[in-house]
Amino acid sequence: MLGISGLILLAVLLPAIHEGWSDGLLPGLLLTKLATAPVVWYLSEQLRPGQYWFYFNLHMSRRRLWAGVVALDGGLFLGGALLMRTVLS
Amino acid sequence: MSQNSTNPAGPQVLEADGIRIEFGGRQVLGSIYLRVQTGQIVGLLGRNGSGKSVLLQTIFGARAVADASVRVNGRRVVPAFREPGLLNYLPQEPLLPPSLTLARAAALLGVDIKAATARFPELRPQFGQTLGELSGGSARLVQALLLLHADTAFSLFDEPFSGVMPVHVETLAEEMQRVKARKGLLITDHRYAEVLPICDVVYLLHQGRLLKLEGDVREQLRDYGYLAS
Repeated sequence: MLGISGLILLAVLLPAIHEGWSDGLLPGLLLTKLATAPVVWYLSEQLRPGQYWFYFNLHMSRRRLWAGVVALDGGLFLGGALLMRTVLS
Repeated sequence: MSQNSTNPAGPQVLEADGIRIEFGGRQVLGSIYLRVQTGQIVGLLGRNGSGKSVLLQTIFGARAVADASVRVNGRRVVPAFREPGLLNYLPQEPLLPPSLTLARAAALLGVDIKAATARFPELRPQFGQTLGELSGGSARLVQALLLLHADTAFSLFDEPFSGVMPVHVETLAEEMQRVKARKGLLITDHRYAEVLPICDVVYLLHQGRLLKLEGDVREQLRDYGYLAS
């Protein structure tokens, strides 16, 4: 999950650095990621490897299970980042 | 896929071969050809660590193995679990997520839980409970029943009788024989005394090779060191 969170963070941060508006952005993004992480952690615990068998029996692959987690993680983070930007501006 | 009883093409045949697996340089599975047909109960026996669970998981498709071939009526189905109505798998570990009640799990699996447990009336008051709230034997039994009654052409069961009390083992074995009219069952379990009488075909995993036992199965099991006497 750390890896996924890091990738999502980088996906927002790298374009900002590239476009030159990343000053002071990292602490805010990190805080946002930390705020959304518990939700994603809870969900990933619900889908933890010990429960894969049940989902396999529902014809769902690991990729499909994790795709939902990644999408939710990304969505929450982006929503949080937009909220932070609105509050700070 | 699973409506074998209404399938005009006749029985469905699940075949697996090309499965080679090594752990730490030791070849666990090497020469494998396994065949299960709807209408059959196939027993898979072998000593601890012989690769029975690994073989079931590979056929199910949860374990990716290069060159593994799993086919139904000659059509390649890898990973097989992705195909609705084809097969299900009961692992040795608990199957159901701890937060799900039995009734909810049955609904997700598309199983009529009342019909599935009709011969086990003592399970009826427990439909609203989660797996963790049941005794070990009841939990094992209800999981086996849910998958047995699910609408799939094949069921792969890893130790379905483990921890189940004898009277329920007998009834579960009868249920398996009844359900095999519409599906193929592949069962591995060390309770060979209960498994052998219900099997149409018996395989033994021995030193990485899958041997189909014919004739006097018990004598061969003794010869290969699976039984002592």
